[in-house]
Amino acid sequence: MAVRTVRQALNDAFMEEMKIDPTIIMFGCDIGVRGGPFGITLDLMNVYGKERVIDTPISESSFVGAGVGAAATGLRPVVEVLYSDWITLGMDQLVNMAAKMRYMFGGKVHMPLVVRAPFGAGGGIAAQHSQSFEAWFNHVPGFKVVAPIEPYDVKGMMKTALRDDNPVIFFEHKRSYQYKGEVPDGKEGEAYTVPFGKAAVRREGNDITIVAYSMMALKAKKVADELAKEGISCEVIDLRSLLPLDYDTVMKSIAKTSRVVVCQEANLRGGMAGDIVAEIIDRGFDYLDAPPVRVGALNVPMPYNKGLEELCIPNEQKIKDAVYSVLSNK
Amino acid sequence: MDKKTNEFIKEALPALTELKAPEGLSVEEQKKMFRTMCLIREFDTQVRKLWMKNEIYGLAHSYVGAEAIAVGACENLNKDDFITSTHRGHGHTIAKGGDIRAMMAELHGKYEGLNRGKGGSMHIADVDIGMLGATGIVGSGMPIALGSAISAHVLKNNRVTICFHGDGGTNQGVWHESINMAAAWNLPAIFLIENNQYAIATEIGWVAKETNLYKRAIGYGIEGVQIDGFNVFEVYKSVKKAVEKARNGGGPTLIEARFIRLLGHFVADDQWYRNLDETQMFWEYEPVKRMKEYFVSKNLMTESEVDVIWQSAVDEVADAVYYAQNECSEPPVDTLYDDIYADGEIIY
Amino acid sequence: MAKIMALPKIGVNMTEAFIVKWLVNVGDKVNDGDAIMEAETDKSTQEIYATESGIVAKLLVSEGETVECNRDIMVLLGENEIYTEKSSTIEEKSVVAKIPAASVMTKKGVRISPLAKKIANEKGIDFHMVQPGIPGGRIVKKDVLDFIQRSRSEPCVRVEGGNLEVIPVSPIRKTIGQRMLQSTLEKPCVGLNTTADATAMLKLIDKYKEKGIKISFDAVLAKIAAKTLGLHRNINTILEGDNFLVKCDINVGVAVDTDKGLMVPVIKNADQKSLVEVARELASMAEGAKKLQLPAASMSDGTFTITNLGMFGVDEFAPIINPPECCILGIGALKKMFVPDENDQPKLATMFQMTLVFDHRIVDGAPAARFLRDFKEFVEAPELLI
Repeated sequence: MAVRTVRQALNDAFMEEMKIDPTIIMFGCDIGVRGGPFGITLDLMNVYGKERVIDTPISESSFVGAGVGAAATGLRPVVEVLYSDWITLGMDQLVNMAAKMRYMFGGKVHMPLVVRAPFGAGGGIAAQHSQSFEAWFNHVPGFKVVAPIEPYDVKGMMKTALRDDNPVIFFEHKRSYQYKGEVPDGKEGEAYTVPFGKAAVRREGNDITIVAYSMMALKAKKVADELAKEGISCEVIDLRSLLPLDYDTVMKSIAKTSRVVVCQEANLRGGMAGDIVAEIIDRGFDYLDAPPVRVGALNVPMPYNKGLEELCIPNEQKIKDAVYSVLSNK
Repeated sequence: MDKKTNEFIKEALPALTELKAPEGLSVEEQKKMFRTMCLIREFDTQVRKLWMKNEIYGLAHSYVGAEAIAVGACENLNKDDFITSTHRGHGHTIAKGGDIRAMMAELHGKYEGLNRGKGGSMHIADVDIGMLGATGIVGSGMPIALGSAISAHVLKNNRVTICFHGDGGTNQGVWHESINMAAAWNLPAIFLIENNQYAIATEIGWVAKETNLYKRAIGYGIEGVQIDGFNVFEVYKSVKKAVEKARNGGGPTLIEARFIRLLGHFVADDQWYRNLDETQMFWEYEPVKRMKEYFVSKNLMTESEVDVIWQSAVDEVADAVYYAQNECSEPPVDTLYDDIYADGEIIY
Repeated sequence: MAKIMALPKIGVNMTEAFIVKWLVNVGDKVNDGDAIMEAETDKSTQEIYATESGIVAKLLVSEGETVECNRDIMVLLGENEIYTEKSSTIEEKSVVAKIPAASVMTKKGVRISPLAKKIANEKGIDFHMVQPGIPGGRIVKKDVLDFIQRSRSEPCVRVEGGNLEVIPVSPIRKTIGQRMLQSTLEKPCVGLNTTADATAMLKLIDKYKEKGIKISFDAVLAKIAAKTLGLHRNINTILEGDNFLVKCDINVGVAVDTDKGLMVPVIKNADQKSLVEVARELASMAEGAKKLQLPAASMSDGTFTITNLGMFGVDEFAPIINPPECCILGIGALKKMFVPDENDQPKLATMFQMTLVFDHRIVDGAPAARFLRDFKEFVEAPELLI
């Protein structure tokens, strides 16, 4: 095993996959010469050339659309939208074309497209750079949506994405790039993948299930460790994959614990947590000993001021408070 | 890094043009413009330092080197004319008459800041003086400028709108759509490209075949002009002409102010993708120094008189920093939900 | 004035740097913009430049350290300045946004979780009978299970002979049974009942509580018993064959209910111990008894026993004497009632009943009654204990 950061894990995934599969190309602003402002695509242009690692003009609508077109005609494009907030510029091509072409055109269209969209808040980057839109893509049939955080999962799921024939929206957390984790190296490192639609149980427990993904999964694990000292045993599930979502693992856990908290970093209203809670109720109302509680950011455009920003982003205390509330039987 | 790149950059720039004061611009007005340029220069120099010390945080983009464009252009505008901006908003705000102290307070996230601490550098705005706000979405200013021109047209209030944007923004779909509509309907808008050759690390030559961007005007049936972006009087003259035309119902003009980005994309950009030695030579072209030389060589001011103006700008910025750090307060917690909706309405 | 320079952030995602090498020493003059150290960030090793000017007074971090952005790294002074260390106070502000909670409709009537309802239905229980664990709260699975436990409404599984269960008699139960039988058969018992005012005792207990010392009601009774027995040695007596053995040691036993049955830990020489000592010993022995860890020696050689069923709401009862003792005192529940004061006006007092059962072979009614009278006097004026 080797220790890699999320950034390195992604870079490795691209280095390895682009070697095996010559149809993988990349679009994005500054990904080639600069290796991407976050350094994710460092050196790829040097190794695979300007033809495959393409620095685009600032034309998201068109280069996202170009990705769709290239995917339909024999290539496997990876399109980077530097901040997921700007995916709005490419929404038409994604929603009305990428997600639907196969269905509309009689099943004959291939759409092996990966859209990388770093999301997440923090650091005072304000309203247009802090959002998380996974719920929008969850809502459109035709997409696959993933949000891994552990480097092991990031690399494994990027490989799966690069081999999947569906449009995948790959949400990295923009503040996780330095986060380190163990990743297999050598031959195993090159060969392993992590499938979509399988959640990971990060911690086993009996009193309550905490369902989370991305940065919130890391926070949930910390909260669980602290609550263990108070005699509360939490089971922490890192979803990793949002669409398809592993409800089997979630429901199995709830059957055991009877209580659940669902966490998202996006603001609460209209987010993934609401959909997940509704599904939990559909699938196992009788297993619930308390109403499920959601954790999410406040319904506010992210303010610049650090003090105000801290109030908005759901922190570990908010997860703890949710757990206490679910356990209170009030 | 690439030799070809640097040759391209050298070819791209116009020759060093001479500063010739335009007709009707008095020496007092010229001095005022110079002071505003000094203010922008010192403001963004301090912002960079404050960012490295983490007293300002988040995203900040410096306007150093581009002062001639904001100042030369805004000198032609009234308070009730509008401008749209980019992520590099400090220069535009100061040139349009923004309050330095309130701006610095905003960058420090204080309640007394222009945006009540909620926008920071990235979203600096003062709609009351016609500055429609800095934004992080490249190209988002263009349809806004179009809309602003439509308002002026419908309300018949004789206002014009200048849409500042970069070379990077000219490749956004909305650039084409906005200019096309403004041109088709003869709207009072001026599209001012601040072509510094770079969009973060991407040179314009890689993403556009015709790097003389002003030539695109032909496609829209409007006038396109290319000027030296480092020459404040050139900017002033061409914008003056465009503003008059717009106010008289002559429709939009496309102005390409050509210069080169002297610092990084954002305040801590180490720019390893550029040949920084080559870039050093372009500091010879920089507008503040050239304007100073103009005053001295034309005997309009002595060197020490110029320094007095420069020093007063430095002092004003230092005062603003002091104000922001010592006399301002954090936004109260219960202002978090303010201004999401109008008239104090709150939906939690 | 001393200037403190912090590690500058030179990348959007930079959070820390590994200090490779300092390029300046204490005493060097440094200008804003000079390279002062080499540091490794996530991208590469780079030079860090000074953001202040001055003379280096102190380097706050060392080579080989990993330092977070914004942590202080260097102190710079002006000419002729002296550096004095200042203790930094870190102010921790905890701010919370006051957001009105979403209005939750509280249903009138029974509130029960889906899981609890399912279990109740499966077990054939009417959940309206179940009490929520938190008053006014929702009935949850635990509440239903507790209800089932208490009401024992689980269907009986019969074993042979029509019995629910056949439990062999344990040694402890045998012993208790034998002693109770022996006492009943042997001892001609008479019970004397009186009502006492506990107000002063409760005040005393409160006074100790304020000082952080926990004294139980039974501990005070034990101490009173010890004192009273000192004045009535005839009660501190056992009958052995043809002799009355008037015991030197005053060993007061206090009955404790455990999972295995009734046990009586004995406070040896309770008359020589202070109230606080008696209370502590009683508390620790009671705990030991409940954990079934009390040695037999702690339960022997008692000369008097107190047994309290007041906590179960029993008003008065006549307990069985613990052989070979002379007496046993049964304590009933504390009850608030109105009693006449010195002016025959009603006053509110907390009263309880005491029943002294005595062995008529060892003492007669009058001496027993005197004992009880004196006991009661101490109860109603515990300051007399001193």
